[in-house]
Amino acid sequence: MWRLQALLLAVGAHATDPSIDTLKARGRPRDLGEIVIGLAQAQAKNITGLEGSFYTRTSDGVYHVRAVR
Amino acid sequence: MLAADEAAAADPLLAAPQYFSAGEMHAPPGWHYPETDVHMRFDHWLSSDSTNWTHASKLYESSGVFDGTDRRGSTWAPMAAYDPADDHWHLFYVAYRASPDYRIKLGLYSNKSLHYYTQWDGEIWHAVSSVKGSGSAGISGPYVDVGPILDQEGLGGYSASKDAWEGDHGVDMFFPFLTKQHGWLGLYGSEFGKFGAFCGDDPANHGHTCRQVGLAQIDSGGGDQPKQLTATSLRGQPRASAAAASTGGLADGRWSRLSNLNPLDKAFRPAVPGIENPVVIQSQDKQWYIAVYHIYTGASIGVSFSRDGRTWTRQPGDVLLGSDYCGNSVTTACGLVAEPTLGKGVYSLLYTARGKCGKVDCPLESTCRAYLVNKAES
Repeated sequence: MWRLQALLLAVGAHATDPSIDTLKARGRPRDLGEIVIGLAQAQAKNITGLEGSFYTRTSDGVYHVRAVR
Repeated sequence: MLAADEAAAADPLLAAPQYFSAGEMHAPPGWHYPETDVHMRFDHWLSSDSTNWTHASKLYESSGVFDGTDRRGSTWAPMAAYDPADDHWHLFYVAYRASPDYRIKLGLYSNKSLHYYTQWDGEIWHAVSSVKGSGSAGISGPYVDVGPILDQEGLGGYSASKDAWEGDHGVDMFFPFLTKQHGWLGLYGSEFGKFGAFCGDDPANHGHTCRQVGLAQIDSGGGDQPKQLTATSLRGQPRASAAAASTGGLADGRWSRLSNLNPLDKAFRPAVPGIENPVVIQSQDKQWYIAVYHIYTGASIGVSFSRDGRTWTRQPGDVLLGSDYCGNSVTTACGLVAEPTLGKGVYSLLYTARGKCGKVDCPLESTCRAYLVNKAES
């Protein structure tokens, strides 16, 4: 269990974590995630969506869910 | 996909994160269909800070053939690895057939959903950089296809009885990683279940999609020296004959399922909703292998870890990423890159997400970045 606990990955939201303090001092992350390759870059390459999971999306923007959870 | 640490040490340019994306496109010329997840392209992106990315090159474009005749009509999930044995970067990706004729109901148990008609019959393909070396020139390619390595036919030792957890999506995930103890291992996966054990024996799973992973490894027979690879020698060449001893390197191409260990549900997640596309890196202190993966649970990812690459343990709980500035539904965990300048045990995570954002407009499934901290190293 010690190892398990020691390996826990924590998202950068713990104010007491010195590593995260370092990140905040550098002005990031502003949120826990942010877009780094988005609409503008994708459109320039005629890409309608970037790597994702397996679903069907048609050009009308509708997602066709093919699996029932 | 993100570059390996060991290669970064040899080439300052590679110390910068690298990213291979799979982008969805409209139908190619000569075809007319509304689906945007058949015709695909792979791109190589570069960054110096994991935040600002520039496009380096297009690596590959699928045919977009939508009548089921092309095994690589739709291609996904480019994953690269450097093999010091042959001094080349190797690219692996998932190739599917796609056809509207396969848009039929599953008809299994109470499942009313449709077959994955835009991606089915998955097979893992292998390409090798035509430029030798671990550095930035090598990873940038161009890559030359050398053939498939894993499918549910003759590649990888598929057994309908031992590997019955695999589904009719085919082999639809693959990530290779080099271990000290066991050589090259690969986490691979599959979805659905056209065979008897549809999502396992638990009746509660019937009617659902199951997505599971297992391990495969390169046969290592202590054989000849690694093959000398060149673009010319690779193109169209058959794999080493079965009688030849394996070199144990990626160039050998002969993978075997570790069926006795599979599927790895306990070490990752239950079959429903399951996981997708695990990506493995070594921790900065070299003590652990860490896998991050998509878990079909909002803006979060899953984590598992291992000492030797074969025995894995699930980290309890989900790693929550937030959705103020990126979509509220993660679609892929793309990988981790060590960020030692930001603190001990800090990694940048690249992932893709779609859906609503809290504070900005997120009209497209996009690639996003978050930071993670490994508390064992911080």
